[in-house]
Amino acid sequence: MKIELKDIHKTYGKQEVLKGVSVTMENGVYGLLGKNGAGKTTLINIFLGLLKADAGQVIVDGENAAGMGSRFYGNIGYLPQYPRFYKEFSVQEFMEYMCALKGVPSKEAKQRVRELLEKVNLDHSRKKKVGALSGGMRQRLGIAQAMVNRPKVLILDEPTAGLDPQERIRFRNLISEFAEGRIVLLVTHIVSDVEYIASQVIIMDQGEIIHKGRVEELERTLAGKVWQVTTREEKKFLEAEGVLISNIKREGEEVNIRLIAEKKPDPSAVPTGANLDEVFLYGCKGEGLCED
Amino acid sequence: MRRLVYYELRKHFLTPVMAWMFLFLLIMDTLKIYSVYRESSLFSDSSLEEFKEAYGELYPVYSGEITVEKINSLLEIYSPIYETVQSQTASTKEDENSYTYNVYSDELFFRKCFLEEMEYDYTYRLYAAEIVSEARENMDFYEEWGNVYEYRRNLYLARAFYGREIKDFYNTEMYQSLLYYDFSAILLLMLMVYGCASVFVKEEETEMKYIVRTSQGGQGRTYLAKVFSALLFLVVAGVLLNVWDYCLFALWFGGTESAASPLYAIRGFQDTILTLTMGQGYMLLSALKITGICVFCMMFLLFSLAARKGMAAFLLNFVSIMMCVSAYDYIYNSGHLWNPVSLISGRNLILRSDFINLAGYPVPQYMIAVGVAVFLILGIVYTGWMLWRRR
Repeated sequence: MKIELKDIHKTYGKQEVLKGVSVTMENGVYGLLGKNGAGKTTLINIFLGLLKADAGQVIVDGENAAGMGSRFYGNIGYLPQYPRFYKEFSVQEFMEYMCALKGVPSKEAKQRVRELLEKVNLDHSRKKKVGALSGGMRQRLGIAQAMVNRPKVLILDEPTAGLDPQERIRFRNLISEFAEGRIVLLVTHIVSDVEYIASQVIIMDQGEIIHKGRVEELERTLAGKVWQVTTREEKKFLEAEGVLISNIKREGEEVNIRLIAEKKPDPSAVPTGANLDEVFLYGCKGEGLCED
Repeated sequence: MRRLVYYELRKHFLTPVMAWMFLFLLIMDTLKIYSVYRESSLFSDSSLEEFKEAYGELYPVYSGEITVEKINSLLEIYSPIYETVQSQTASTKEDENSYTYNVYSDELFFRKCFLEEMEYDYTYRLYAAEIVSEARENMDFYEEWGNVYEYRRNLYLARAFYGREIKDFYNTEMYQSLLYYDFSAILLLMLMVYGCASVFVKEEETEMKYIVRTSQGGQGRTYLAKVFSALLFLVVAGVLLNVWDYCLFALWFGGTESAASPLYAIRGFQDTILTLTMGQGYMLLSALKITGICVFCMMFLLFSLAARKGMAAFLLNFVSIMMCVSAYDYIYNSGHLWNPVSLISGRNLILRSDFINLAGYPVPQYMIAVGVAVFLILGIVYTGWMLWRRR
């Protein structure tokens, strides 16, 4: 499957939130990064048909999505941010409802529900009420419902937000499993999620795509610009111009600072490889992502 | 679609809270019916136990087809009692030879329980014949003056009342109260106020709207499933409540044998245009009430769609009921046919022979009210669909 977002524009009042966004996606995991207000949610909503773009098109395998009607949704699996689902439904019931909603024939529904619940390790909780599930279990249920109709496109909005490290790792692995043969778009603030499982990264800022490419490619764009220095005089670096601090780690009386600068900021600074956080920081002109 | 309707029912109507509410409503309904029985039945007063005994003995003798023999037999019993009472010389103490307590209570008993009702039944044909005669005279008059609508209206009346008679005498106490009983409809309306408030709002509150709207069945099919689930629940709950009412009225009042008697055998319905039996009349009234509540339900669904919080939808539902009830109290002309409250108190639409002039043809009011209700239901559903698509 091939998804093309072509020159998408969207304005709210006087504020232009999407300024001609264009991106093409084929099978693989894409991480969509950007701080609050970057336009990620607006872009996703336009892609999903929840919002109408002021200009631009969404093309699915060469066909305009606007003309596809409900066929378009037959290819989509979506997990929104912080879903609460229906707490009075049992896990089994909820999944069967999603099968009905997504047009899975009733003959296949029970089998499909069983397979997915086993895959996300919720088969022992099938009779539990959704309201009684932990955050991690609810997110796993969320990805299971998104997979019910075997979608070719899976969109996950902040899927690991609020999860403990163990659940986060489990969830990432699930995404990787489900990613085979489909487009997965992971919308997140958590850079490590993207680093570990995304093959491509799209970074947005102020309604535009500022970076797009493979993680390694993006990190290479900062080659020679990322430095590590251990010092007792951190103030010197904090107040220096033309320097972006990406990390400060205190080790006893000294601090270990990672920073981005065009030139070597200090004789003791050592060049080091960039990470995706730093790519983002540099791309967003020093303003990082929101906190988790 | 069936599965979607089922799950919409599960989400909003087949819930423990709704089940408890329904149970509570049944209890309230039962208590209310019992209070109606205590207030309006001649036989509910324990101090009139003798009436009940006497009625139990004599009713099988005089009920059924009204014959000259039965009338004469009754008069043979009643006439001496009446004369004694008129002379005001009889003792007021208990008399073992009386049917009830004494001659005074006997006079009341026979008059209230048999004679007046039998007289009404027996002489109704004369009343109906008079109406037919007047209607025919009016037809001639209006035909002469070219008033087509009035001609047709009187023709309708003449046909409806022609040949009417009440052949049988039965105890109609049950239906007299049952057909005037609206409390269960109000309870059902309250139940739907709660049930419908969450139908659309729940998708907002649970953040499920994004998943629903991006699913293949999340557009038209989900919208229709929500509407059908509300209607289905209303109809089933309405039928259950009406059957419950019927059973309780039958249990306390008795007299279910009058179900096959004509509706106009109840005094208040002497001018009804309908040639239905009492049982059919009750079913029609139940259907009218449910239709009226349907209109409210669609309004409640629209509020649920427009509101972002369940409480807002809930309050709007109540406000809409208050407004419609107030409007019903103040609008006395045909404008009230647009008000669904007119269907909920549907007997006012069928008590008399009221018509609406529809392109020169007389159409009974209740039919117009039903037509308006259907129009409102479809209009509100369409409006809701437009709103659902936009959101």
